[in-house]
Amino acid sequence: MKTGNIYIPKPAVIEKVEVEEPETWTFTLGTPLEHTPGQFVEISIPGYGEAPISIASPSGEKLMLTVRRTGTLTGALHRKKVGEMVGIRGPFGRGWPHQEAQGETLLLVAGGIGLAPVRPIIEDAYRGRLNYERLLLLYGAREPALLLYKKDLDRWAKKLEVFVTVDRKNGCETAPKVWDGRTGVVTELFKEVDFSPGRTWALVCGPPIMMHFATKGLISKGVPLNRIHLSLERHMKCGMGICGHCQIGGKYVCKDGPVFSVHEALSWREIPDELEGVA
Amino acid sequence: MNEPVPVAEGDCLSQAFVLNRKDLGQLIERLKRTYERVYLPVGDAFREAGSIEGISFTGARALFGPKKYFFPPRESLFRFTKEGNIEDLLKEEKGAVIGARVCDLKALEVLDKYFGELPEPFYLTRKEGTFVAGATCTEPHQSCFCVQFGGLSTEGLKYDLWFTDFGDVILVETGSARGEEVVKDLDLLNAPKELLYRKERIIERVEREQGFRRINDKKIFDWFSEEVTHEIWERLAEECYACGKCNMICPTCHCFDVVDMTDLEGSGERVRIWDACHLFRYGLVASGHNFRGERLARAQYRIYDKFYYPYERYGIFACVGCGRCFEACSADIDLRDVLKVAGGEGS
Ligand SMILES: Cc1cc2nc3c(=O)[nH]c(=O)nc-3n(C[C@H](O)[C@H](O)[C@H](O)COP(=O)(O)OP(=O)(O)OC[C@H]3O[C@@H](n4cnc5c(N)ncnc54)[C@H](O)[C@@H]3O)c2cc1C
Ligand code: SF4
Ligand code: SF4
Ligand code: FES
Repeated sequence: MKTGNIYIPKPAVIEKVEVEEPETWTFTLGTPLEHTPGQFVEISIPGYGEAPISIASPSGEKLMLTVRRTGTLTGALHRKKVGEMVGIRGPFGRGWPHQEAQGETLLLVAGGIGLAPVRPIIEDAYRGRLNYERLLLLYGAREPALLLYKKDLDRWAKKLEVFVTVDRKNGCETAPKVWDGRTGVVTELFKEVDFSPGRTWALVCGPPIMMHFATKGLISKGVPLNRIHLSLERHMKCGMGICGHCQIGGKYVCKDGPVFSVHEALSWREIPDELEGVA
Repeated sequence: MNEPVPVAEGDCLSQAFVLNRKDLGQLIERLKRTYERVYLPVGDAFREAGSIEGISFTGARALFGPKKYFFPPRESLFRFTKEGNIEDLLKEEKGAVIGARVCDLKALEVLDKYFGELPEPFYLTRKEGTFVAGATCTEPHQSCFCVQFGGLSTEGLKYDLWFTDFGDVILVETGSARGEEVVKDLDLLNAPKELLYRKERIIERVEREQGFRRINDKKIFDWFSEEVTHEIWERLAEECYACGKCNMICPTCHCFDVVDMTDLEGSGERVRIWDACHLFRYGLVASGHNFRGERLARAQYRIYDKFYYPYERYGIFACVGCGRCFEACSADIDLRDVLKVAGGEGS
């Protein structure tokens, strides 16, 4: 019944660092990992703690993590260089219902760094390892410079239906080049795309306010509540359903989630901020 | 309490023994031989046994219970050096906790559920290595309401020994092979049936003095299921200081934070520390969003996490009726008020 010390991370070496934008870098670690899209790992640096980070690479490939610098651990990670070590625990959590959705329409709605946890699905669909009738990606960022995986977006657009928008054209004066794409929040894209709601699975990940409006929009489009799935973000410590930090409505977001259907979440005695007043 | 104890002749029990109070020291010494450290209630709290002077298993639970020996307030998980070496700090732990009450042991069973789900190795290792002797309460505290959750019955509880303190003698019942071994080594005499009857009478009195009835679990659960917006929650939130004292003192609260503590060179330990869901920063994330920023949400959450969520997940309540949380509360918030409303007695 006992296990070893599950708090000790496994060492992993940083093989590659790509700068998505000054505050958000993608780290590729030399350790492949078997996982389900939507799961996350706890990344550890002794002395700086741990943080939950979504797995951005398809299962079985070298582990890719896209990390925005926001505090202690993420700050320390951004000072690491290629060849240095970090620690990993995981994968943890319940991922997306991307398997059930095969053969039907998959609608991915992502905001900002929320593109990372759906990236493995897009990549697998692009390479034909997952088969959908249609795959639509609706992706929004605050400004052009903050869009993640810019090269991937262009590549995916060749096979999949990719819609990208930014809240505003030039947030900072040093914007690299002129933006000639769409502007407006990601939910504006619902006006542009057409899909049959009864055959659609919608997977949503982004800041709380974006998930709120996206869910509202999907409901009004007629997508059933049990086909809208959100990846919830909560304060996490252990990632394994022990420390209690991530709990909402009696569920451990780290273990029972982070992906929940809107149908399930609305049945809780504590309504997630993301869903306050959506239905 | 001070009636003379009949001397054992004939009508005796096979799993009950008599320990003379003056031999309590021998029992503790015997336990130390196998379990190294012995912890027992001294005044307000459990402490390591020193002299047996003034030790008593009468009265009721200590304000600060024995949870800390199974789930310490601060526990090192592993050590790291600045070169990146890691030393595992999970090791066998031994100890004996004696004089725990029914509510203390029921609380450990609640923790068994939470920590058993993974399973969590630090708690389970301590649990396995710890000898436990319970004790019958002889006088309830004002705040005790365990009767609402089944009272002083030890049926189904796991323990190694069970004490009932009659003053000059202590009735010692065995509950496990480990317990039997200890009793055998001490050469204790079998107890007369009469002592057990007297124990039963004490239990009846203590339960009666609490003045409560067993609650209807399903009814309570259903109330929590329906009444998320009941006005009592507003009242609680208004009074609550959100200090987290009730979390810290509760024998079933089990949340923790994890922090790295380092020396100036960068070597150190990853440590887990008790945390409290009442505290403002509990649900705060790096973006600045606080998922339980409202005091109302936090005050309500703690109580839902005693009566609703654990019932949903494990079919149990995570409250054992020890009354510690409101004995400790600076704002005099009494959990029993909520249960009264939930049980349909007044609002
Ligand atoms: C399931 C999940 C997946 C995530 N995926 C990504 C990702 O792919 N890329 C990315 O950049 N960020 C991601 N985040 C957010 C990321 O975990 C936080 O930005 C990070 O924990 C901040 O840690 P810090 O030490 O730098 O910040 P500090 O503010 O110093 O935080 C200290 C500690 O608080 C906790 N904490 C603080 N904020 C959060 C938070 N938002 N979520 C969970 N715990 C938090 C952590 O234990 C953290 O170590 C994800 C969060 C969750 C819950
Ligand atoms: S709540 Fe019950 S078991 Fe706990 S100390 Fe009071 S009387 Fe004893
Ligand atoms: S909630 Fe209060 S009464 Fe119930 S077990 Fe915890 S401290 Fe005791
Ligand atoms: S992060 Fe510890 S329980 Fe979910």
